[in-house]
Amino acid sequence: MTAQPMKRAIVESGDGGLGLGIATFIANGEDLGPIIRHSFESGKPEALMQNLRSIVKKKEVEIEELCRLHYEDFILAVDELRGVLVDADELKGMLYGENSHLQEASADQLLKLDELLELYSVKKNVGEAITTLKICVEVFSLCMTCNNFIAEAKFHPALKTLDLIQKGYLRNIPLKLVKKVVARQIPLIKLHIEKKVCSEFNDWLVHIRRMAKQIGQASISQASSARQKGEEMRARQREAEGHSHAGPDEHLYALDLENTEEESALHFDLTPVYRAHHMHTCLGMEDKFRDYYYKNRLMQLNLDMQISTSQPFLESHQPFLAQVAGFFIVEERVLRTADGLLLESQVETTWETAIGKITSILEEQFSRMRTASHLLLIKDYVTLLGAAVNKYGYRITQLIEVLEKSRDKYHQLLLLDCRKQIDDVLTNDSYEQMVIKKEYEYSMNVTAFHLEHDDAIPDFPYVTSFSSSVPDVCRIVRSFIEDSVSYLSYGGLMNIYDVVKAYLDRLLIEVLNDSLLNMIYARSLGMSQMMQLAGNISVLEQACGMYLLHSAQLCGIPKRVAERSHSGLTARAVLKASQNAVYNALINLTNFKVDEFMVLLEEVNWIAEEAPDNANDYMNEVLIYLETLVSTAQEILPLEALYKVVSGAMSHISDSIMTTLLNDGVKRFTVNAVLGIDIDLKTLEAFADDKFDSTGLSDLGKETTFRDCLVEIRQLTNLLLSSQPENFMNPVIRQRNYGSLDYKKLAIICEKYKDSADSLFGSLSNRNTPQQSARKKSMDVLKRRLKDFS
Amino acid sequence: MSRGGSHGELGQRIDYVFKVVLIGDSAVGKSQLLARFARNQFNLDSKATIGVEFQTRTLNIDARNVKAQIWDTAGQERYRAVTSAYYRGAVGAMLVYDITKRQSFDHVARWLEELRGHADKNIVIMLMGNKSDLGTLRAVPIEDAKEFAERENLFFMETSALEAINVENAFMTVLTEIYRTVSKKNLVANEEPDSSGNSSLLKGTKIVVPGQEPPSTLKATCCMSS
Repeated sequence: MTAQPMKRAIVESGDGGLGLGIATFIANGEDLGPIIRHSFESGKPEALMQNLRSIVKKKEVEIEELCRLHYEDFILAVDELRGVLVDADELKGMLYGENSHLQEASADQLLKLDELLELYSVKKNVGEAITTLKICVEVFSLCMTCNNFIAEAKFHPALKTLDLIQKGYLRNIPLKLVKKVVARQIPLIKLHIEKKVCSEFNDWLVHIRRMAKQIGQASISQASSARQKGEEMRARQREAEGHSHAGPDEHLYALDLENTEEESALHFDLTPVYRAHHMHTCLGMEDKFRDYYYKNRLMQLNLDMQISTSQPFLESHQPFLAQVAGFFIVEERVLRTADGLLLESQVETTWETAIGKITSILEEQFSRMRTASHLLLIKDYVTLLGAAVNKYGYRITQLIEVLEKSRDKYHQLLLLDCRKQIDDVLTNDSYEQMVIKKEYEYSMNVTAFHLEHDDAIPDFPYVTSFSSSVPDVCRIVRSFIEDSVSYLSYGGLMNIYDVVKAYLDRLLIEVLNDSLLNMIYARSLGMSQMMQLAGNISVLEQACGMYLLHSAQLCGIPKRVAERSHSGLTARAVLKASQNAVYNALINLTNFKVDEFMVLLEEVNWIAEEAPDNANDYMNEVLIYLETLVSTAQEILPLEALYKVVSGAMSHISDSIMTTLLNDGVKRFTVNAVLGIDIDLKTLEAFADDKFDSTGLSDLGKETTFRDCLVEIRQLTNLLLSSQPENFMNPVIRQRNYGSLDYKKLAIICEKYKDSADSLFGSLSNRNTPQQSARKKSMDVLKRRLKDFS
Repeated sequence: MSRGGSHGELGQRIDYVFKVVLIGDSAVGKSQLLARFARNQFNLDSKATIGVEFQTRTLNIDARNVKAQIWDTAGQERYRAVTSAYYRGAVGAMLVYDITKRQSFDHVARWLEELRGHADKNIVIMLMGNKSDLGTLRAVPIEDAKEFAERENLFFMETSALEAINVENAFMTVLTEIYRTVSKKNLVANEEPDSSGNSSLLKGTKIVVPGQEPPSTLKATCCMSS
């Protein structure tokens, strides 16, 4: 029992502490949440509950105390409220009466109010209807506008209107039916517009393809006119240059071409392209149209690139090339002005493809051509095409290259043609000097080619140093030069002079020189004709200078510059070599002719009993021939050639006599025969001396005269007629008097030498003079010693 | 659209091709003469006056198919002398003057000189006095032209490209003469196998006086060249 009272004491003491704290909190109005939460969390809620119940009891006691104090005040208040209630009932009755009164008075007003509300409702509905109709009117108005635009083919404003309807109004159309109809029509109208625009564009495609040829021709025509004006200016300068010889200016003239005439612009209409492109852009189909344009134009180009097979290319090439030029001029305009419809790379690719096709066509056609002027005709048009399209920014390198490749072909055809002409001219020439009777003839055949040094007009009739083939050949060569320059002009080469010179050399060497050599070796010409040919070659060789000047002039090089140039034509040396060839031919011809007369040597009486009084027949014939030869050659051949021919003839005569004495035809000969040969030689030597002087050859300072050509036979004759022939064995005497004689030849000839004492009747004769005996003895010694040598 | 080519030449064998050149002063009507002669075979869509131009027509002479290749300067002679390439290979030449312009006839001698300086010696030459329809404006008496033609050994005709008078005759005369020359050369070559066939044929002078042909009933409207 003592333990239990101790427990209650401890608990009560603790409760007293907590209770005070909580009471203070409650009094202050503070939040008891934390305290309560803490109490439950600590696991001791019972103590808190006890404290709270205790506080409640205290409060209830306080409340009862408070009620007891204020009892009297409460009863008074209740009485006062009961009084107020009565007043309220009274007031309520009064209000009820007023209300009934008011209701009776405003019954009519209420009916009016109902009417007013109904009218407000009607007004609202009508307003809505009006608003709806306004929208519809605007839409319909736009639709009508759109229809009008389409009717007038004004597709862009039509499309604008359509867009406006679609974006601005379609969503807001209140009437469903109208909305549906409009929504369905919009794509249909757009499709219609697209078809219309495409149709118009397709018409343009057809039209522009027809127009392309004219556009190309007009552009090429402009290029041609510019070129012709350039030619005219150059021709004028050439004339002016020819007149003013003393000009300090050595430079090439720079052509300042003032373009006084405005080039008429190529007019063609691209409006349908612009419209179509713009409309497709508005329709959101730009890529589609761009693709459509490109493909269709490409198809058109492929059609244009097919050349006619039924017509020769020579006749079809101009329309063909003009068509292609026109196509690309149009494309260039579209590229520049159609705002992205074409890409530059597309145009370039198309152009590269087209020009590749053109070049392959040209290569094939050129390879099949057989006429030079046809090739030139096409080349000219191709260069004009190049000039025309180059102005629009297209690269023409491939075109230039194909012309370069065909250059040799062209010149081969030219050379072939010239060969025929030159062969014809040389074959048909009579090889007689031309007799010119009129000034016109002189001008055409002499002055035109500067074939005489003096430009003064001579008296007529005038005899030229050349035959008719010379001016004819000059004409052919001049035409060749002009045709060569024509082909090389306006090509890739800036300086064509060297190329022209190269081809000119080929003409003169491979054609002219070959033909001349053929004439030389053909054995169809007589002596005088061969001499004339030699003279002709001399003139033609000189004419090379004229060809060079003509080439330089046509190539735009001033005359003074060309004259000062040291590089000449290789052909000149070749022709000079041919000159030597013809001189050799002349020598051969002369010797051949001389042989015909030297055959008469066989008729000489080599064992004559008496010395002849005159020259042998063969010598008379030879002299007559030589006389004619020299007089003819003197007029035609240069002195050098004349010298060679006559020297050759003289040497040949000497050799012929020697050969005759050496041959088996002559078994033996007597001193009388030798005396005859001596007479022949004296006659020939007199002729030789006379001609050497009269022709002017002595003035040339030649070491070997015509007489010197006869030295061998002269020395032999002298030896055989000498009183002491054995002196030949003396080295000093031999060197001085018999230097040209050969031991072996002399031995053979001396064996044939018989004195009259050895004849059949020699032993019977007693007429031997002491002189004859001495010579015979000396000859026997010589024979013996020569035999020893052999 | 397919180009209307010359169907007459399809599958037709050509025996000879003769190149004939048209020369003379500017505006004497060379191009119109060419158009008139070749009109049945060759119609250009548009007139290209660029450099040298030529047209062809295939004819029948002595049962041989002859293609005439007519070359026209197309105004080039106004700027400079016609180049030698123009004359190369030509076997015939039409030397044209305008009967209403004395100067064009006076220049014929110069054209003849150039022709002889560049072309083959054996070329057949026809002197043509064009615009004979303008008789009231005549400036060149026909006797002057005849005399010149005789002196220079040329054929001669007066023509009118406008009224198609003697155009066909002039070209046919030249082409027939060329054909005869070529045929004779072939005959000579055949007769003498060893010879080179270069016989110089005697060319007679033929003066063809323009006949009193009535103009063709279908008078084509052909504007005069400017």
